[in-house]
Amino acid sequence: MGVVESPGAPATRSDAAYWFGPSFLLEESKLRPPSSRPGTVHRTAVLERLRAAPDVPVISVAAPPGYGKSALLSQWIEETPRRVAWVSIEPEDNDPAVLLAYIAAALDRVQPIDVDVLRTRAPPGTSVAATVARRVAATMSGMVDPVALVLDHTELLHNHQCRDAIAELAVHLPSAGQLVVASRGEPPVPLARLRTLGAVLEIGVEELAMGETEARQLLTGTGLDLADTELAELVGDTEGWPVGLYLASLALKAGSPRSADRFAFSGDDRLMADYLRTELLSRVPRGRVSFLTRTSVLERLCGPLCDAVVNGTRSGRLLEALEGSNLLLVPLDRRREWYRYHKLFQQLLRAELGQREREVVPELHARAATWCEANGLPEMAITHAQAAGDADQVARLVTAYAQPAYAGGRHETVDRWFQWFDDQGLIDRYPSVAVMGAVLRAVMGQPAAAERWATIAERASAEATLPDASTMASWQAQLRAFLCRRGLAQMRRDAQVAAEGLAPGSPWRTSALAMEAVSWLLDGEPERADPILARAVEVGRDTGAAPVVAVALAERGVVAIERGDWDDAESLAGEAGAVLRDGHLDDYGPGVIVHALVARTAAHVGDVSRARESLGQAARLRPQLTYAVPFLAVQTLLELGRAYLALADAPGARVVLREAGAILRLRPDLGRLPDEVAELRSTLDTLQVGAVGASSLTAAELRLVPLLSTHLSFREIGERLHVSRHTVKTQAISIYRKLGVSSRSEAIDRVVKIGLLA
Amino acid sequence: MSHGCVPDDTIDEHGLDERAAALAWLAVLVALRASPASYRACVQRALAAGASVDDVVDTLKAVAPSVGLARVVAAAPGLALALGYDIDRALETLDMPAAGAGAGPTGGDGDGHRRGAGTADTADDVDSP
Amino acid sequence: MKAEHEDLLRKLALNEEGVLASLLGVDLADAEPAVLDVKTAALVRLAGVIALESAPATYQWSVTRALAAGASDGEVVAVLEALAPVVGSVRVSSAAPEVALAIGCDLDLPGDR
Repeated sequence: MGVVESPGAPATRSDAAYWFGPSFLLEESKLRPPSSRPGTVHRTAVLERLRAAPDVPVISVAAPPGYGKSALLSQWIEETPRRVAWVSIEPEDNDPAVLLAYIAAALDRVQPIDVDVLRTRAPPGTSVAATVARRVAATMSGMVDPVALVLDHTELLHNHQCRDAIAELAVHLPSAGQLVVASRGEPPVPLARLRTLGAVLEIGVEELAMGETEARQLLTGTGLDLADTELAELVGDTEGWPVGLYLASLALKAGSPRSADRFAFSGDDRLMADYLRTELLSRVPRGRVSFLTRTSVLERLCGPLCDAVVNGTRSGRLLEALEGSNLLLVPLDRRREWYRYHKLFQQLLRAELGQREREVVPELHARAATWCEANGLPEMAITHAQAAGDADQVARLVTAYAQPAYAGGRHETVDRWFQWFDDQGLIDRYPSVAVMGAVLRAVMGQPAAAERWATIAERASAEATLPDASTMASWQAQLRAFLCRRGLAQMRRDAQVAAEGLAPGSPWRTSALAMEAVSWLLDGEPERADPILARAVEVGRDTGAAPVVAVALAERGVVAIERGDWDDAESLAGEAGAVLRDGHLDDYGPGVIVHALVARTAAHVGDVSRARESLGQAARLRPQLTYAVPFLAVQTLLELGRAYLALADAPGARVVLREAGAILRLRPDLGRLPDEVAELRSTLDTLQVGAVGASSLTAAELRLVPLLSTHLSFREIGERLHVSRHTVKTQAISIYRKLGVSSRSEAIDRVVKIGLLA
Repeated sequence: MSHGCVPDDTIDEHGLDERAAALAWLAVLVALRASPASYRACVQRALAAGASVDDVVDTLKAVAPSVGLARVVAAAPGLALALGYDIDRALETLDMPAAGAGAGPTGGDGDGHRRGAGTADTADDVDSP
Repeated sequence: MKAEHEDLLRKLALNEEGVLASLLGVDLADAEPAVLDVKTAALVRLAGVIALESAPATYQWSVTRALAAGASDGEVVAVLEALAPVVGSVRVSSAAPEVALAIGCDLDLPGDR
């Protein structure tokens, strides 16, 4: 099955590790289109419509469950001349990094793709949505044969950035490329706009409802033969709803007499459930029913997993038998090891389970979680443990897997894992989760959440131990060091305590070392800082702490500049940049200092365009620099200010110094940083004001820039950024003026030209 | 007397022709930071009296040094709208890539009624007042 | 309407310096410090903008210039305070959100009018 082998095995193209780091699990089954099964009704009429529009860029298949969307698509892909890349969306795809990985893997199956195209550094100023869309479009256009990208079950995508990415892709497809989006509800593509362009073909309920001919085929396939009038009645009652027809046919075959109210089908789930219960499940041997309902808690089923969940022994055989006799269990791979239930059927089974044995459900999830964890599927284990309400297990798994996932770039996923504890009101009970969550939130630039979690984490007993054998005391010290609420000297002490108490193999030890070093640097003792930084780099490389390694290298670069060794600084800048690139750490907030260093060394040798490009990258990430990790934020902003100064851009320098000043007001005790910021400011005062241009864009405006390049209206942008439309409009006007343009398109062009957007 | 526009008796009493009176009134509206509705009435009157669009814009330009940039900037959107140019919309619209001639309507949420592909939908209004 | 008129009106609505400077016959950019230094001159202009009930675009322009000339957030806010007795509290309280937005506090402003 599609599980990554042990972390020791080298990554191949079919491994997730190739795309996203060792802790990411690529579920192969999501990339396999459902095969067109013999005996399924051939949707001739709809296929004819699709055939008539062979080159339409976007195909939208939107209908409620049970209309045969996936079946239609599996028939369509058999006859389309294009190569097909398929992704079945799951809830985990609500993370742009994950979604992109799956699309990439799907495209790779069609034709090996150029990983570099897909993995180019996110250009400065780009929104996540635009980045994903551009990369996918670029990859598709680079393929020899025309490709259709199919996304099934897009109703499961709620993350704004993911939906926006699909929408952007729909509008920017390469010629001969095609995007097919299947959804239960409204598909995540801008239909009105696409309709105006004649760029979409919509298949909906009207097209997918079965007519009498197709209904007859369906019923014949189940061995049922009806008179014309009876058939017409049935089709009318079910409104051509394929699943309704199917279940009705099962009932008729089982011989239940028809009565007027039996077949009053609509899409209403409750009617379906009642029907299923009385007509279908009541005729199935009790043991088998129990198997069906109990295993319905699983998104994916395999023999051993089902055995674990139902405490049985021959689930594998049973699954095979069920699959052969029934259209509602779907195999996910050729070897018939993994299956899933038809989604509608699963919902009904779950409802049934809830009715019959509600109290058993948590136990079932617990068993599933245990099995998943034991068999190398930690993320599935987390989902089941959450459903089981086994917070202990969830806590254990999250604290074990949060750092690798974060280091692999999956911030949204990690955020969700911690958010679960918040939603359940459980942070108090799990100090290890509290303290790790506080640290991660601080590093991810969420100061309010970090403070809240930190308060709880600090109340925990220092005697406790964390799963990785680190002491709670050391973790609390680490957290205190990051937040630096009581000044630099205290931060140093905290970092030292943390370094001593953290488990030797823990990647977090690198952060502790780095923080101690930075405290010396900011106190004016670079020669004490440097060796500790060097050690941090070594330790970090051994323990998979790539993000911190990049920062530590950049700090060494800052030290080098201080002693006047610009050559050394430049090579360190290059090294740090490579670590960020290789680790795919484009959105890593603390990494901004790397860009600052690159900008300074580039400016020093007169490479203005490279300096500007780095400053643009930094600008995109600057909103993540908050008072949560104040010493790093202020130091980074100071270095950015020096870079702007080197480019004689006083307004740009002023903007970053203002941001630094805002943080210093909250955290004034940061060694020599306040003085250095003041000094730089007074240097600026001696310069001419200069043109107020693009470098004067404030953090708030920088947050807006990427969204301007999308098709969203000002009001929709306001919803994304949680501000009013008036605010968006006012800020947009300010952006246009600073860029020297007078329209939105011109603004985008200008931003591209100066390197704030790809 | 029409609300917010040139009083009817101006023409006879002061010897200005209707066109010049309307343009003079326009200048007053700029100086007084009038509402868009006032501009609409006044511009209509001016155009009806034979003023050209050039004349209206020139009036704004001419009055600028006297009233200063704050007033001119505040007047621009309302005046433009009175002349049929929606600046708000122009600043929000992103020209669509590779459309047919002329940029289509954008700025809507994408909610349209279901129709066949190819017919132009009226995009939803950008925001409701 | 001719494109040049559209351009002019649109740029005016943006408080675009080039077109305003040519209309007013004045150089708006670096007022070479004659008697007042650049920062003070910018803050004085800001006071005028506040007193005159200006458009948001004018507020943004004026505050940005003041900040670029070295004014701090505190100094910008102080202008509001200094003006209050002269222009009245009503003027100041309707100006305050626009100034805040220009400094960079994302206050949610009421209404879309």
